Amino acid sequence: MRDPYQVLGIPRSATDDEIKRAYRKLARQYHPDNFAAGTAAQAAGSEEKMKEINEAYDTIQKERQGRSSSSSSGYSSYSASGTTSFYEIRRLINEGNYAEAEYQINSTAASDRGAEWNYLKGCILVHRGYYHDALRHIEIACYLDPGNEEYAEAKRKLSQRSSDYGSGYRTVNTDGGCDICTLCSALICCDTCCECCGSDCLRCG
Amino acid sequence: MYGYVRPFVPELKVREHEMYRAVYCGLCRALGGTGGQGARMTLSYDLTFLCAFRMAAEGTLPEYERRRCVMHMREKRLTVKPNPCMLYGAVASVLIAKAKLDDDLKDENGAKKIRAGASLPFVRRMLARAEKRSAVFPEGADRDIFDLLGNLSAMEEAGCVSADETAGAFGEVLSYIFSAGLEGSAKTLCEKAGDACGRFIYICDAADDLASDMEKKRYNPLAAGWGELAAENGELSPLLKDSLRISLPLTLSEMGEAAEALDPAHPMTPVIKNIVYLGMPRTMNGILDKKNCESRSVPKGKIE
Repeated sequence: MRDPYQVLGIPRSATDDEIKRAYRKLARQYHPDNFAAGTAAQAAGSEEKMKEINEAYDTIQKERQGRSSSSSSGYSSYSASGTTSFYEIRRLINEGNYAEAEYQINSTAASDRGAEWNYLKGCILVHRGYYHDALRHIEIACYLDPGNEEYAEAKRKLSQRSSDYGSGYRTVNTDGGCDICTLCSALICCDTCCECCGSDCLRCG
Repeated sequence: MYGYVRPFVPELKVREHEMYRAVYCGLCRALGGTGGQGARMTLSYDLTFLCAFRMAAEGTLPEYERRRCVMHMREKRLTVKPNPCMLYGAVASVLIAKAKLDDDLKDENGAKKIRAGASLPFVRRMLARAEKRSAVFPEGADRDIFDLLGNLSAMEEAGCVSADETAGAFGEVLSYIFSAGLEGSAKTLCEKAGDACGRFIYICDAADDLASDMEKKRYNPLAAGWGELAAENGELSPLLKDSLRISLPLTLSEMGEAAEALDPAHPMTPVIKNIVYLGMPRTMNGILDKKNCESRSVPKGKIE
């Protein structure tokens, strides 16, 4: 396998953020959906490339994970152990192991219960269906760290889900429908193209 | 129970409204048949919903019959004939009435306590009769339900500060009541709906009673969690209202999921969707802006 850093086109000294950005950029560029309209060979090529990018990203992530946990075990400071436990909790949530995540979050020392703690606690409570308490924790997280996009986004999503409730009651699904407006605009577009080529199917003036 | 779970009638089709009324009348009839005439007093919209939901989840098709009754002498009304779901609903209704009286006897003072003490022997007899007459009620279920209610009151007595924790305990009670005696996918569906329904009812009730609870210094889960911030000038604080307006529909969305999983061809499904998507949010709005009584799903009183 090629050097994962080379695949993503970043130096070894890149920060976690830079890695994520590079990964996202490449993923967008090579996503198979982008080639759906192209030839089969192109689509297959993009799939191959996408697989390589994913593997490289995973390898770097794993490598860095190992490094951060080994370095934190080396240090004995409080802050280091605090951040690691949040990382661990995030991993548990991503894996869907909510029971363990909840146990760990509840055993976090009171002094470590900052914005991120509140945010993660909120995420776990949402999963349990404890929306009232979850909302409060996420709001506290937003209040403690107003600039954080992740917390604000979580709050926005919850509000959105809440206000969308009931909107699906007895509505007629119009997706994919072909009404008169769509037809007219399609006809006008066709005509414009025709005119460019010198002929005209809708006479105007 | 509380009357929080009712349809938004203007959005029902005429035949759906007719069907809903038939379930309501059918439950009254089942109550009279199992617990005796006095048991009809425990009739409620919440239990009507329970009957409709169980029918849809189990796939029981209602059979109708036109009947005259004491309340409606003039015309014969459409009623659902007693089937296992209706009979179950009837027993559950009496059971809940008894649980409420037990609770009143313990917590209330004065006239309410006397009333509860006086009516308890009658209700106890009703319950015994209802359970004996309807074979659908699983053995030992009443004990389990009282145990679960005991958990809830233990949490209330301990002054639990999380409204969701206590609401979850009530959700367990309703989840049990909704699903007892069922099997397989119908059971999971009823459990899910009952749990979300219980949590919704509990928090709505807490919001509804906040002012009077604070005045009488009784336990209220929202007041316990929010402290000073819960109330302003003797009513819900705007902060708490905003929070509830987001969190309650999220709880309801779980009921929505359960309703979506019901058989769409079952005659009760559209009525259930109306209750879940329109009726219950209306109830919530009615409680949150109390001044505006018109926003209640139906004017107080009976559904006509």
